[in-house]
Amino acid sequence: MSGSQDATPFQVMVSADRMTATLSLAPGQAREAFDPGVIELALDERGVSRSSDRSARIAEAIAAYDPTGQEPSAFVVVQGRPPRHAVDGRFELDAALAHHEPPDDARVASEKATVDHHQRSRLMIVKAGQVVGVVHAPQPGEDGVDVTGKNLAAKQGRPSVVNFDPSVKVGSDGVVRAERPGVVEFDEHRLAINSKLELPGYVDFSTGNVDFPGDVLVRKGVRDCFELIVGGELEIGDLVESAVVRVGGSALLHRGMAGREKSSISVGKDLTGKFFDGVTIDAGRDLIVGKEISHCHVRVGRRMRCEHATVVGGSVIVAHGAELNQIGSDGRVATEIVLGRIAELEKLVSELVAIRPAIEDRVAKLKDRLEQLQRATVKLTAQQAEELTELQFELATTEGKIKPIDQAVWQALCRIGRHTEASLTVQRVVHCGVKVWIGKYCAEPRADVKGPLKIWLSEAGEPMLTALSSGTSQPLSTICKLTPESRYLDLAALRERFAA
Amino acid sequence: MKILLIDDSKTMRNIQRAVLSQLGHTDVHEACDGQDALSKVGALKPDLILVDWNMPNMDGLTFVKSFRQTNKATPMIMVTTEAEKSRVIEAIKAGVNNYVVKPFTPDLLSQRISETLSRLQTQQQHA
Repeated sequence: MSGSQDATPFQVMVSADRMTATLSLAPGQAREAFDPGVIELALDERGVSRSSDRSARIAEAIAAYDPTGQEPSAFVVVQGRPPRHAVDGRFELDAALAHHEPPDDARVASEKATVDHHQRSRLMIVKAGQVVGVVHAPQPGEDGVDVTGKNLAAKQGRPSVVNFDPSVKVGSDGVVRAERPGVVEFDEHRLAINSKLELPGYVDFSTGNVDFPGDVLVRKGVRDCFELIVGGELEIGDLVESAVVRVGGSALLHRGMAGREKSSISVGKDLTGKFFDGVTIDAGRDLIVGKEISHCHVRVGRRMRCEHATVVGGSVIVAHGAELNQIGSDGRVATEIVLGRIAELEKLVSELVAIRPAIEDRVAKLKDRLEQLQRATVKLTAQQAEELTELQFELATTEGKIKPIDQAVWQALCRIGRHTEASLTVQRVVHCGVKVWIGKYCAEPRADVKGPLKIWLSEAGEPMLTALSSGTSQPLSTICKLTPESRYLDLAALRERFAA
Repeated sequence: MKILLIDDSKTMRNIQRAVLSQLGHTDVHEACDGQDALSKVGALKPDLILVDWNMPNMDGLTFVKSFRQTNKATPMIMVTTEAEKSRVIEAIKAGVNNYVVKPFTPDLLSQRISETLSRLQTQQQHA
């Protein structure tokens, strides 16, 4: 700090940054030795700007001076005001996304407040329209002033440097919303919503369960007990362990799935993989497997295109034809193939057919009662007239239910007819121990049947076998035990009944 | 179209309401006797009235006569157990436009309502 060097009983010192002017009073002086006017002049000489505050502080300093003190007394008589610099504009990510909180309905709530760690995810997945964050405008600064009265300029604020991709929209209020569903990609320079999610590793504790509306690429695999729910298409590079996978579109597994009978995969369109072991599979369209399906329960909405694959153990229900390499094994592992069935539609038909007798029964009872009343009375009382009206109304309403049921059953049967085909092509062999459900029958080979062969249903509903090498056909009953079965609906009989 | 059902039997009103619903009429109001109906028609201004004959407080015929003193236009259908010809004539003279005898089938009621409305429309077109 610079100060005056003369022999006055006080010194005036201005700090190097000119933010304070200090009055130092020498010890052992009488208060009267300090002339405020002289002190003011000294401050003026140092360039310290005048103010009523300055004079008051000088007077305070003198009043506070202790004449018996041994050391100089220092008092700050003028204080500068530092500049308040502007705050730059910035983008602030929404708190819920920033803390990676799972959605409310995914949290495991319990009285003990347990947490499912599978739900913890670092992925910031948003829906269209969801708030992603807020853009804060720059806050202006305020200039300062030093003790000499010199203006100290404040720094200007700069707007946020984040570049907002067209996949987000910045509102006039600064709120930033996602224009489409996807995963938030954010760094200090860019904010975007990517409708495709790419995971470089596994779906595991580093990602948590994944629930993504768009397409997903998992470079590695999926670990045990995790859930992967994908709205679009899915591609997985490595093994899927005992997990739950649900896909709206198609799924491509470059390896396969080892479910250990605890896992499931359901796919809206096509499912492709090398192998599936111990998995419950639901393919909305085609199932394409390269190597093996073992001990799985499989439902295929369209075709099974597995001409190089073996199916061993478990069960398969396929709507529209299956092409396999081998079914069953030398060890006669029980394996079931059900051809030409759409389980959900058949269930609906079953339920509708089942309620029909109850309605018919009610109609019969109402008719009986009506007849009784009409026969028994010549002149009706008001009450009887009302009862008759009520009965007639209920009869009309109940009878009216039968036609829509019949129409619904017929439509379902037509749809089943259009979208199913009971046919099975096997390239290599159908082993003993396999059961093939075709039409009204369950067919069990008496011995291993070598391919290439095709099992199909004739127009008359008889199961047939064609040896594809020679082209010759014979009834399936010649090589298989055929048992009429009622486990599945007799669709032909139902068609005949409801065609009228 | 606003419709008023007047019948002391809730069951009958429900049946008529269901039939009207099948015909596409859902703006349906109810009264439990003639007196109740008279208190409501002024504010309600229904486009069609279905009225029972035998009701407590005020029977249907009395209601019809009273209503017709100030309103000659709104169509009315009597829905009743009174089946004798003389009764039918009496009701028509009082001012009803159509008549349905209980017990009735939903189809019959539906037919009478459609007839009445269609006739009214024709009259309005020629007016």
